[in-house]
Amino acid sequence: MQLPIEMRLKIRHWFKKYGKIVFFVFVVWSIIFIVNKFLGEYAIEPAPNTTYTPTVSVLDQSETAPSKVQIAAETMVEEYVDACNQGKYQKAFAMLSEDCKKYEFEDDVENFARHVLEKLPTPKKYSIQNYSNYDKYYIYEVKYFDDFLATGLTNSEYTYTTEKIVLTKNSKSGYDIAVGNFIGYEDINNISENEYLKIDIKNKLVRYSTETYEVVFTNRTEDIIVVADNFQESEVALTLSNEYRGMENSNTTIVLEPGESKTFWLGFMKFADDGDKSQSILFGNIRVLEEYAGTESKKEDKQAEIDKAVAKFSMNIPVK
Amino acid sequence: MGRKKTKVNMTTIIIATMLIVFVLIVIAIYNMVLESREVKYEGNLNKEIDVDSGKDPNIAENQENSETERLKAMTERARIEYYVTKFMNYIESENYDEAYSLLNSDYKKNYFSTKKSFEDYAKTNFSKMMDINYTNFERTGDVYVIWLTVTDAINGAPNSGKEINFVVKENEYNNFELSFSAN
Repeated sequence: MQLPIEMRLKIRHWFKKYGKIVFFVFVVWSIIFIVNKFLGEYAIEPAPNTTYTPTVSVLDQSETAPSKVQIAAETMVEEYVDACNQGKYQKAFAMLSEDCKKYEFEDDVENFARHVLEKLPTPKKYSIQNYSNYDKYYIYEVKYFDDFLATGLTNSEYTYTTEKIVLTKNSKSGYDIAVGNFIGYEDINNISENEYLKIDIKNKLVRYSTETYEVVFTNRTEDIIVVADNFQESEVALTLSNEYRGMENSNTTIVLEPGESKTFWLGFMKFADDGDKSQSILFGNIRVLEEYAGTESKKEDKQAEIDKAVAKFSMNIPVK
Repeated sequence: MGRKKTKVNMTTIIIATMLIVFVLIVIAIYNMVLESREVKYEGNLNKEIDVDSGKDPNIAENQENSETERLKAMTERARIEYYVTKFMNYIESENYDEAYSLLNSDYKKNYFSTKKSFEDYAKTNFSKMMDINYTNFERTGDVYVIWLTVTDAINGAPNSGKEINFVVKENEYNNFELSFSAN
């Protein structure tokens, strides 16, 4: 069936007038179509859904480490583990923050090597997982394990070692790492004193699950001062926002002879990323005694000594 | 003059519309042709794998597509168990080539440097019909460790199962490598 002449003329006239535009649109559309087809052929398959999400914080699933930090963490941990696997302890040690080298390993590569051999006694594979992020610290849990895939666990057990590796920004706009669960070091230098006793909290070492304070006690009297001997309540406690926490080693004895000055390291269980800040250390039952029979004496004797104490007082010293 | 302009505009619109409709029809026909080539899987998930004869590539491709779609719907643990079951099914059906191709290359070097050694091991240590009971599942990084007990389904006595570890690494859906404890 042929179209009427008038219609054919109109169509021809129309194409004459708009033909170029139609052609241009057709070419553009074809290009888009072909490119879309081409990209479709090479479409990236979605990755399998998995519980392995190394950038998502374990402690707070809504939190993700910034991509810059994640890239730095993966790169540095890879370099660190490679160096440890190859026995290049000096190289691995050089990657650590100055505080970590000094306070965790006493600036001694051999101490560090011993630590590495404990975690990686043989060359290991590893996996990295963002654990928590707070203040300027990005804490990663690193697992070290044998090449399970290459052995199928034939004649071997499924075991692994772990440690927390912490990334902090350094002054050169890069990152430092700290290993062995070491987080950081802080100077405090807060003093509390009276006529009997001076207590100087010098600094604290923060590890992932503990805080350790270096404290210098100076006895200013001719008598014995007992700060802690596990006899009374709240002798030494770390004050947090909602609780008092006793020392990690509850058997710590702090007794000063007349005029003596002594340094103690007081450790408290506290997770660095629990969102709570340490406020102060409370020395709740300090007593100045003329006589002291020692920690092994009977309860009645101890109580008698306390009843005859020259002075009894407490000190609460800020640590922030 | 105004009437002529209106007539011309109407013609333009009609022809442009006809062109657009024509293009849309072409696209629709193309999509219909594409869809008719896809296989949509229906039915319950099961552990059975249909191994085709390989004669018709379309059948193989469609089955692979449906298997991948099934895997996408599974949980992580279900997928890993599926891969191990797939491997064991190859051994049950004596398809040692396919089973061997799934082994990790380092593992092959360590334990089964030749396909023959693997075949001999499989014939000695695995039965023609196995009852598999998955007992534990762990992930370390991107590697999965799965514990299972394998019992001879025909001749095995109660509690005569053998414990085996499998280690699986999933690269993509239905693209994996594995190893097992070859004690």
